[in-house]
Amino acid sequence: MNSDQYITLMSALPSLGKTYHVDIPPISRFQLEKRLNLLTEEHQALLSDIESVLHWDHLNSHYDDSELIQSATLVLEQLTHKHYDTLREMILWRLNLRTILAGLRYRQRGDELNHQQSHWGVGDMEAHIETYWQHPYFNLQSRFHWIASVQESLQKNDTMQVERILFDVTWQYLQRCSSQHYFDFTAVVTYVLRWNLVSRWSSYDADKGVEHFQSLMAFALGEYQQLSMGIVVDQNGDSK
Amino acid sequence: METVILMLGWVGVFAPVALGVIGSTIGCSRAGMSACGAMLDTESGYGKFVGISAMPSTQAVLGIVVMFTLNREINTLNAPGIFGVGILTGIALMLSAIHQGNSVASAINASKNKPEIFGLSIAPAAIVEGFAVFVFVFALVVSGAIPQ
Repeated sequence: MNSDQYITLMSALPSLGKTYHVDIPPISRFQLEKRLNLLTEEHQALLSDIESVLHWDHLNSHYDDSELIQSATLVLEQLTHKHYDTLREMILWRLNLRTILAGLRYRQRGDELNHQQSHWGVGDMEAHIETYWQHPYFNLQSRFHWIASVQESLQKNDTMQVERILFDVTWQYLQRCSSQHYFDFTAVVTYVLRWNLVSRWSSYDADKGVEHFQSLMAFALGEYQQLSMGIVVDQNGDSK
Repeated sequence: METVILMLGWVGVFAPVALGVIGSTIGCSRAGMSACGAMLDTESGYGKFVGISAMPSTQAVLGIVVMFTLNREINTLNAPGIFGVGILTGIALMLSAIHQGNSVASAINASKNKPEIFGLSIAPAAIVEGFAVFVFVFALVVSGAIPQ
């Protein structure tokens, strides 16, 4: 696909607006996929790889961190090889955000870093965070101004606020990137990543959340779930 | 040597139209692609998208007029002048058509999402058109000074 053909694709995508706070995305995933068929197979595969590295909701409970790190490294290498420098920077920024958040969560939980484990994060922030583990914001507050507010919300166990801050920061970052690219592959990827934010935000549903949480709990408890249910039944004296 | 000079003279005569047409082709195709994409996403206003996507065709017409102005009996006295004016006019027309196509594509993309800015969004493309007209007018003026 030469650069001119991105003009058709980008013009066929509706504007995502100024904010991700919408009830319904302006285009459905089905319609978006149809438009993305204008991309070459190579670019479709690359876009799919990028999405799978950044969106972890498709991962099942058996996923392995090392596989995720390996696939992220492969995607970054592909982007370097194909000279998509802005795109590489964008993906790395998102991965660093996850690593910093993971570091903050580890530390809040009181965990020490397991140096035996080769990697615990993705991106290039891992070594820096290990060096500044005792520093309140891993000495990153000048580069990532949102760390202080995320740390504060984590301490209050306000996970919704953490999510909101990260959405805001990511949205603003992607907006900035999209203003530099109009009709190229980077613009397409930026659009899809922004669409994913809009879609995720609009799909947030408290009832579905509880249902999903219960299914995760059921999976985590496994056979012990039956045991715990048995104890409850005994205490009520209903069945025995 | 004389043959080369005469050949360059003929290149100068035909350059405005050839390069102008190349630029218009690229510009119109880019703007047309944008119009096609916008038509997938909108339910109305197709006519105005297709209409403005033809804006970069002007440069080809301007190139034809400059070609007729430069067209004369080519000799060693006038060939260098014709080559200089013709080739530079052609390059300027070609680049302006290509970039006007980009401006039009952006205008279509923007006005598709915000129909109320349609008029304003084509202003950058009109300014680019203005530069093409400058080249055209001054090519006509300068060509008058080239010996017959």
